[in-house]
Amino acid sequence: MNEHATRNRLVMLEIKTLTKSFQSGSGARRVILDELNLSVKDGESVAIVGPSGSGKTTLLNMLGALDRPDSGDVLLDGEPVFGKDEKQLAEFRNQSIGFVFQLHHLLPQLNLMENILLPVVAQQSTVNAASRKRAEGLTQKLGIAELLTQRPGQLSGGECQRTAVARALINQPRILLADEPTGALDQQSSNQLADLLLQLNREENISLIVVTHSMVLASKMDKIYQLENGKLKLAEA
Amino acid sequence: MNGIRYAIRSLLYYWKLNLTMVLGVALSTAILLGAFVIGDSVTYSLKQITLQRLGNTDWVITGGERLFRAELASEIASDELEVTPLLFANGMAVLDGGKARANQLQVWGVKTGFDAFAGTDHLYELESNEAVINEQLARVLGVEVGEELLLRVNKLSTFPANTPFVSADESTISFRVQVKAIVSLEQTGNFNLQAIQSAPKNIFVSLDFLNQQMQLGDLSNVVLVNGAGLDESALLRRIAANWKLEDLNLSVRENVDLNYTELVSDRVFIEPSVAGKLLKGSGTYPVFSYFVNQLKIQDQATPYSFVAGLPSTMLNLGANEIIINRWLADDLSAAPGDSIFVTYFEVGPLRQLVEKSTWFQVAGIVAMEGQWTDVNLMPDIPGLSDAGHCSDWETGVPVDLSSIRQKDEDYWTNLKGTPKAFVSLKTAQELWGNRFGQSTAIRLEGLQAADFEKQVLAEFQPSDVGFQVKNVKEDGLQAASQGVDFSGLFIGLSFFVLFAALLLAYLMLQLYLNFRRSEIGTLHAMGFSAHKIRQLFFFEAIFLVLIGALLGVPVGLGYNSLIMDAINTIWRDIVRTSILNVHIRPMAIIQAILIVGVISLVSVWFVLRNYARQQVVTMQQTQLGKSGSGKWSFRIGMGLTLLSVLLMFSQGIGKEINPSVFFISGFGLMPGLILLMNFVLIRRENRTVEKLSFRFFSNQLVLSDRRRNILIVSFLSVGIFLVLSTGLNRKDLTRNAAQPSSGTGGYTFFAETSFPVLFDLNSPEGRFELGLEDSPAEFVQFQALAGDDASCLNLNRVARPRILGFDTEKLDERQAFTFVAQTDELDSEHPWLSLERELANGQIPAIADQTVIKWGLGKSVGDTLIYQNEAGEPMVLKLVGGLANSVFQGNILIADSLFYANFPSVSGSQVFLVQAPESEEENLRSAFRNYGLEIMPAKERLLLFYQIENTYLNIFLMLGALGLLIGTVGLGIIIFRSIYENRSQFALLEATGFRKQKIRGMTLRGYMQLVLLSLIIGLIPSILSALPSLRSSLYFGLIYWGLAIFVLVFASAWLWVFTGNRLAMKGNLYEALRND
Repeated sequence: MNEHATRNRLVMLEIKTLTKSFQSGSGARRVILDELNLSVKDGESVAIVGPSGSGKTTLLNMLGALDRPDSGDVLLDGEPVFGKDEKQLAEFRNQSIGFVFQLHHLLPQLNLMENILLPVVAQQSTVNAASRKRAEGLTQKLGIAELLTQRPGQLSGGECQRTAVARALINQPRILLADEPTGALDQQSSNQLADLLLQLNREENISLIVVTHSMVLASKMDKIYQLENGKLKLAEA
Repeated sequence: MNGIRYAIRSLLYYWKLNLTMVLGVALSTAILLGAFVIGDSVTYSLKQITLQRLGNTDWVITGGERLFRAELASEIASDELEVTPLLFANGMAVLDGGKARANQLQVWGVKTGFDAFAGTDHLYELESNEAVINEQLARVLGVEVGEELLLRVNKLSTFPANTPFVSADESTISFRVQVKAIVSLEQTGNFNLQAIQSAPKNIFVSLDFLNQQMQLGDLSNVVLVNGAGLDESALLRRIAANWKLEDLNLSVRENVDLNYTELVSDRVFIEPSVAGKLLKGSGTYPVFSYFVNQLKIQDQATPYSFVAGLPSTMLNLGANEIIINRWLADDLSAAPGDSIFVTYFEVGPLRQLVEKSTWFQVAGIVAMEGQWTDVNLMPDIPGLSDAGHCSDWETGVPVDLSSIRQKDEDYWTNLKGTPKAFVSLKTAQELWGNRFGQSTAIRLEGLQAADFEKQVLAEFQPSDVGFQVKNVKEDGLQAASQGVDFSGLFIGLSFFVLFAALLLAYLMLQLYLNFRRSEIGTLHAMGFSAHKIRQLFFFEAIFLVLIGALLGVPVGLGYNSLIMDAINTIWRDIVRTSILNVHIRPMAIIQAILIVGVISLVSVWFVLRNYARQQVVTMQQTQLGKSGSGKWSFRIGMGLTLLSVLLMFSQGIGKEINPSVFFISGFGLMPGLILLMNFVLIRRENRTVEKLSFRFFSNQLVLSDRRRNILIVSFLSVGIFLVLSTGLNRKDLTRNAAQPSSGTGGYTFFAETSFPVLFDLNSPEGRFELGLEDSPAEFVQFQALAGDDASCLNLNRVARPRILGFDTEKLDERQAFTFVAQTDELDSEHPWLSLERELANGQIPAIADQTVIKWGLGKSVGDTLIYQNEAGEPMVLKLVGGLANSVFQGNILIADSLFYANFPSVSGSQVFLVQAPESEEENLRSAFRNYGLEIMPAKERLLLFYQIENTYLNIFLMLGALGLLIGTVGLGIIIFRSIYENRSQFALLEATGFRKQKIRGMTLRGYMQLVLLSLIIGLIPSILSALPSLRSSLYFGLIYWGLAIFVLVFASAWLWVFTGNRLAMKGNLYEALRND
């Protein structure tokens, strides 16, 4: 954890009194996130840990505007995210957020390069040279440059997950959200991926928010937050 | 990387999944295209049949019941017009002394010019006793070229057969012919002026030969015309420019001695329409002579004499005054002032004779000279006026030859039928005027034959005297194109298949999208808007739908080919011909592709809307909502069930089972049972159990998704109910056939003859004529005006069905038949008698089968039909009543009084209802053997019409079963999806020690129980709704069809559930645990 390194950076992402509850099968409502507050600075890396079912993934989905809270808001550069309409939210997800899931969710019918470039065509009709060049650069960094014409079914889990990271970064997002990014990988691959994420965090100046069970991974982040009983608590070093 | 590339990649990657979606779309396209092509093929075939039956004929000229010179045809011909005359008559043929018989023949007397119309070369150039027959007739008789036939033909004449005093002997003629050739339909062997697709029985003989046999001279009654750029008025003008008085059956003669010119008719009486026009002219006056039985003063009588009615310009007499000639005065010893009784026959339309008398006072006695010995006052009555002696008379009324004395013979020898007495014209017309006319000659002073002839011809248009010109080709093609809509029919019959195929495609799409849920979520997370995601998947769908639709084209054509084969063979009843050919319109293909494409893509769009909107997080959540207690399902379900059962027992079963009530009961029972099933599933969902068992777990696993299960139950039960309740529900028209209210009117037989029966068959004289004196049979006789067959046996749209005229009292007495629709003009108490009165605006009330009105004519009760009567005037029939399915299907019924008023020349009756014991049939066949009788039990005639509806229902049953089978594929998909989504649960079972086989068996059993229950829920109400039909001996066998379909659907469901089950559990189940 390296809180001091980020002390002078500006707050880029804020969560203000975010609340989310779900209705269980019996009809009762269960509060998952209870008036949560969080702020993430530019270029900061944050880990969110907590027991299973504590709402970590739910929180991450809120941050990525994949789900809406019952109350509260997420602010990016001071601007409320949930005030946007659907088109603006899609643009927000495409331009400002990069998502890495536990399962890579690469599309099996596309090769690696196509998977990486997919977010580019979300908001424009074709891939331009600049995007292609950025993709090549990312694949170099992530060590998958030799595998670009292959399909996900032909690769290992680690290679797929690195491809998913490249895909998440292709549009130079402000924030990278990773939900258990190493959960499906073996130890060696996990370590490699964790280091890559941090490297990209530093080099690309992308804020990184990681949900993880792995304290090894969490300890490498600037801050660690504990999510328990719907509340976020900054963990002690 | 762009959207198109993404779509193509996805299509190729998921090709296995895509294949089933493509299959669903292909199947839908195939069914729809098949239906379109069937419709187009039937229409095309009907048009081809029309062109084949007409050959090169464009127009037809007829004279109604009138015969005209055959030469008129060549007189109206020109360089642009090819014309040939025909003589048409009804006939029957006998082979080898009765080895085979064929009735209802069309006998055509043709000249060599017919070859040009038939498109043949010298084939119709016939010697005296040669005949050419068509294949249909050859098939019926089993006759070959060279064999001889005995042909009996209706004897035509220039006068109506039932003209008073004309003999009815020799109303038919018979002669032998040798078959020269058997002609195919390509050789216009099926020549027919009626718009109907079934092949007639045709025989062609030489026109000259036929004229000779009929002792007619050179006459015809039909002229065929071929020529472009014609219209009706042009042809009528040509006729008017070339016709002669002969063509109107009129002639003009001069009496030099008495210095007058007179117009007389071959028809004995001058037609009222002719007289009406001519008598408007100055100088013309009518005379009217009548053959009376006796003139008597006290006990002195003079038999069989003519009495003439003269106009006041010739004779000024009061109503009861008579002038007699010297001969009669001497014979009766009469003096002025004496009362003289005149006895005469009033001749009814069916030769019913009513002897009537009237008395006159002798106002004067005239000498046997001058105008009082004018033999021309006697009309030309064949068999009477041309007889050499009184004893040679052949009259149509009984003559007691023993009463004729020598002096009567001498009078006849010297003076023929010179009238012996004279009354005023007005009196004569009042006493003896009849439907054929009220004058026997029209005279004018002076010798002006040539001028008078010109005047007469100039006075009339051909249409005034019954000539009609019809563009038969255009009318026929129009009737063919507006015929039964087979496209719509087969879309309706196939709707379940279509629905099942579209549902299959829809389910596959759902499954497809479900498999790619995470992909959709990922795209969403990457910032693809819902709209963009929809676009990407829509691109894919467009490809799939296009491929499916294009694939459906050859499948559809193959399906159509199968259906056409079936229509030409096992389903031949619905078309009554086996010459339907496939006709494919490119537009039909495009239409089918477009319709299925649009429906599919619209469905895809709606499905995508829902999926694309769902956030990835909600897709990760599977929340089974709470279902409630199910009390409303129970209450409504139980209510409907009890109501249906109560309804059935209280209203449906009584003196006779009410089919409608049973159908409604079945219809109400089915949703009731579905709701009860829903209640059971809800209860199962909510119950807590103390004793946990394998069965409990098994049911929980399989039956947990109540909504999905109810979808399965509903689809299968509704499907099987709709198919079976419709397909098994048949009308037993023969039940209660003996009742007057039934479609038979309570009559035993329905009969038609090839030749008109000129007598009243219920009179002693009529029965004597046919040897039916001892027969218990009673007859209702119908006079027929030829028209198109408007029954369901004819696929063409007809405009002028056959009209039947009859004595309405006969049907009124027994309150025969049942009306299902009527206007205010129909009296509810005595509906049949309502036909006797002309309506206020001169329209004639008419009745027909409601099905004919609606489907055959495309009209409703209250609408009108327009015909042309013999006088060339429009005759408007108003449909005032629609009958429930009856033996009259295809005909229009009017009162005989109004029939004769408009068509006086139609003589005799050719259609009969007969009330007699069934054992009387042979006797009737024998009695009518020379009339070409076609007789069948009336209930069989009803069944004949209903055969078509039955065949449609059989088709519906078969296609419905096909739809259900396709539906079971959809069921397999639902099961597959259900099991696949719950793989992790089954994986857990395997992990805890259950064998895979046991798990598969458990799911299979569970779902098949559901399927079985669903089918039973559909089967029971459908059997109940069709119970009245199934109880009938006619349709009991259908229950086996129903059970066979049930078993087939169950077997198919088992196959697809087994397949879905197997596929869903393929591979290692524990993989599902690893990713969970």
